[in-house]
Amino acid sequence: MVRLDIKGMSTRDVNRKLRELILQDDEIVVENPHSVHNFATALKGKGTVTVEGSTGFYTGGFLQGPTAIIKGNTGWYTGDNMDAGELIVEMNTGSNCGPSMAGGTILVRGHSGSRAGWGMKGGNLIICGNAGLWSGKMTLGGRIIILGTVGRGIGESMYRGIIHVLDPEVEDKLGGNVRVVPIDDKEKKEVETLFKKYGIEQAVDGFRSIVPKVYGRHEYFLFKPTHQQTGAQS
Amino acid sequence: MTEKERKPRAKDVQRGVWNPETVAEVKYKAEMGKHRIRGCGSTKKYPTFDDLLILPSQLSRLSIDTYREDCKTQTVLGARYAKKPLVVETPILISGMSYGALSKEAKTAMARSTQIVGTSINNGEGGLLPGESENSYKQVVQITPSRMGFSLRNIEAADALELITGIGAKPGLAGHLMGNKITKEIAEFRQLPEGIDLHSHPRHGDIFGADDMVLKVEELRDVTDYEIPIFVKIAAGRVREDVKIAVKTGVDGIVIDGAEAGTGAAPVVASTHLGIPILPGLVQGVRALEEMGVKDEVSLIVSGGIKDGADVAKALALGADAVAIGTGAMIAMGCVVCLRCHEGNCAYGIGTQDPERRKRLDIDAAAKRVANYIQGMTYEAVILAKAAGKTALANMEREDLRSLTLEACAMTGVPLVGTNFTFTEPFGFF
Amino acid sequence: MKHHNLIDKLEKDTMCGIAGLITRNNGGLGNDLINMLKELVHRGKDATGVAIYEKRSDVQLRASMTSATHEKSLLDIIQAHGKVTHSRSYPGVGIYTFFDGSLDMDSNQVSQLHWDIDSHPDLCVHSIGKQLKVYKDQGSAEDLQKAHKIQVGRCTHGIGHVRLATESVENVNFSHPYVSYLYPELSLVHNGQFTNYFNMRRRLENKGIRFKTANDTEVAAHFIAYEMKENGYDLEGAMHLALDTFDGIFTILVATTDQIGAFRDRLAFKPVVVYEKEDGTVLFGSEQIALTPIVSDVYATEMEPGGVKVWSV
Repeated sequence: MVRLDIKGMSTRDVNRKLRELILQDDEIVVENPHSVHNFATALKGKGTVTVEGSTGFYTGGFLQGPTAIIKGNTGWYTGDNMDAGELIVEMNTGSNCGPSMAGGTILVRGHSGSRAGWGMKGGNLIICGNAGLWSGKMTLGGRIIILGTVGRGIGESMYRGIIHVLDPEVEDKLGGNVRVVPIDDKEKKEVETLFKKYGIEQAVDGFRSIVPKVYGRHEYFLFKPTHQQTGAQS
Repeated sequence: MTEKERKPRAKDVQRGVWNPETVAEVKYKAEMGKHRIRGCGSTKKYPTFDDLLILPSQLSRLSIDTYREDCKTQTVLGARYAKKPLVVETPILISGMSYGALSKEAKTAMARSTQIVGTSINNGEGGLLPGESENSYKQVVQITPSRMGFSLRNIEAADALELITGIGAKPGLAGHLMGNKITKEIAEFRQLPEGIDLHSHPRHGDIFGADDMVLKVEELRDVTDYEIPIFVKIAAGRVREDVKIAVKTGVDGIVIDGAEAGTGAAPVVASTHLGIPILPGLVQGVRALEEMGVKDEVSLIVSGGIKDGADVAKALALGADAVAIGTGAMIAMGCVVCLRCHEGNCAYGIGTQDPERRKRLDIDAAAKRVANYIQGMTYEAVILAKAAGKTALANMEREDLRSLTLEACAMTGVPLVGTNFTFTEPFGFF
Repeated sequence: MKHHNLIDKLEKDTMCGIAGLITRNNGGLGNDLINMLKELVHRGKDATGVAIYEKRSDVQLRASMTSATHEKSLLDIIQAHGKVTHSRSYPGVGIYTFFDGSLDMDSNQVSQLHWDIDSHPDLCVHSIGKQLKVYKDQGSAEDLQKAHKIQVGRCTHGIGHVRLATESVENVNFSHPYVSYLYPELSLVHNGQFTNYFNMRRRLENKGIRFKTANDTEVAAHFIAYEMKENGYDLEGAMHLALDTFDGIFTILVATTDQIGAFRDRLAFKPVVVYEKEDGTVLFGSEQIALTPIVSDVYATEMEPGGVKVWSV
């Protein structure tokens, strides 16, 4: 285990140091993060990096395998484009969490903002708290699990992928081109395994899944008149 | 040298003044001793909205997601004094085309289409057809100089009134309806003898000048109890002076009809040589409204050759609040622009009164097609507005535009592409 | 895959940042607003500004002059409405000279004096009023603090801004916070760009409102000030109207002598987090990090898209 104090370091130096250290040590503890941006960008390896505080934007972007535990909040675009590894955020994340992520797991124990899981391609995004509007927009794959309430427009125009929600009012907030179905047994097992791994105490039976209506061919209405028709029809 | 090279044939030599069209016109006058009358309006090539381009968002602003984020299209017109302004779901209205020039089926179909998209239709000259007023979502009633078929009953059925001063296709002239289209039914409707050639009044018999019009508008306000909007329609000509006068008469909105506009029948010389196109007409109108400080109160509607959503977006950017279509709606229903509306033998049952030909127009199918066309145009306008970073069509601005040609730049005051250059006073914060 | 492009990403892509603070009588947290802005320096170092509210007895004037030679004109304009009890003028971070003075005058005349000073092409009012003082200049929060020697006693609330100049030039009068002669002691900061600025400006100019700069945020200050002054809206009502009128990207903080309001466009493109401490202090910032000088790590929540909210000080 090695401790790294990054007070006053530029993001370039922080990432360079992390890359050096992870080759030598399996456990790195980072002090004085002070909401640094671009933390652990494209970090490779198998170790665990624990941050004692909050990080800023683009935390764990392009992550390639390690586990990063942030004991505070993260900013927008957490885990962008990550391929493998784990990103565990103990408190909240900003908006656009896990954009275009292709693999690995992001776990947010607190709340997330709008547009969570934007364009997700693979992997798992678990949000124990609430997610904001347009979460799961246009995903291409992957699994999103939201335990709290979801915002308007959830799953907007998903191409592939699946979103599991507990929110009883989700039907009123669906995005375009998706529908709600009961969670199937295969997915139940996957979710159970994930919950067990991360110590999330939540029964799986209450979840429902949001899936695309039709794979690929979406319907859009650019003109949405709201008038009542009047007049004779003969 | 061959025979052909020594004496080129007439048809291989280019033509300037004496082209085939001019030759035909000379021969017509020689034969008939009068002017030719033809349907559809001008065939001249004018500078159009196509000579303007819209600047998209990129780094200096974000675009709005074309398919997944909303753009507001609902439009409110005539709120200056009217208690119940005209509210339509899209800024594309159907302009006035008469029952007489068009068949009953065509008018009914257009009225039905307004139900589907939530817009208004204008009855045109010659009375209010029940098939139209019963089927339309919102009904604009025209007050034409001829007042044929017009009475207080029309005003009671109206959601807005339009006082005609002139139309772009033949400004300063009047309605023309040829004898073969004045059937028994039309004759009764308009209180005319059957089969005559109708040349109606060019001027209102009860409005001789702007001073009279101030009082006339007040009278109409009394009749309508200030409930519905009153618009005045002018042909684009002396736009600046006309708009200023119109504002002073107290109307809620002004409709400017450009030289490209259509008509059932007009003297060819009038449609070709009278009036100015809508592009400079619109800009002059907006400048006049701003000079008078009423741009935000008085609604501005433009018509004349509006063909697609790009025209709509650009017209709104320049300062119009709505546009009206005429010929476009007819083409959506089946018209092929043969330019022979005046003969009354329309093969598609649109511009004819012949019962046999009228049967060819399927009313519901035609209504759907016109509605589709208006919806398609609205989609196009929305796509452009969103690309320019707007969440409402009404938020398009003149600073979003640039001119592609020198003529358009000179006419509109919108800078030439790639520069901040304008010939005259820039039209906007350039 | 090359790494350096990704690491440098944020150092290249700077953005504007906003911050705000309501102290609720929890001591003189005067420098805290500046410290919050220091944390946002990566979002813009072209200019920084703060609007700080503190209860005083005299009208305070802060104005910029394109050079010190114009101070005489400024004093002449002031004489028409009142007396200068004490003042100082000093060079800022860039080429502008600043005037900071206490005036003995009728507070009903403040709006007229504001207008008169702004009528001069080389002068610009940054703030005028008994409680509000706006310090804004080129450079970072650190530069601002040093050059202007900002001394704050028991401030009640304040808002601040760091700026990346997107379209406008490096003119100190183009930075935020903005004020309006129409409504005294209103200040406003904005993250984003309006896409219908020209239409809005035309509409307001048509009502006789005069603009001093070509920066789009000025239209927001005048719009809200106008609705509050002419149409009698309260701050929350004016912000609701603004939400429906403005188009584009906007996350905005507005402050008056007794309230701070925040509102955000419906598509929520730019961040703002809000945190209320147990002792009543309220903190606003574009990013979590802006709050760290005051509270180390908290559950700061993002404001709802299309949200409009006011807090009393």
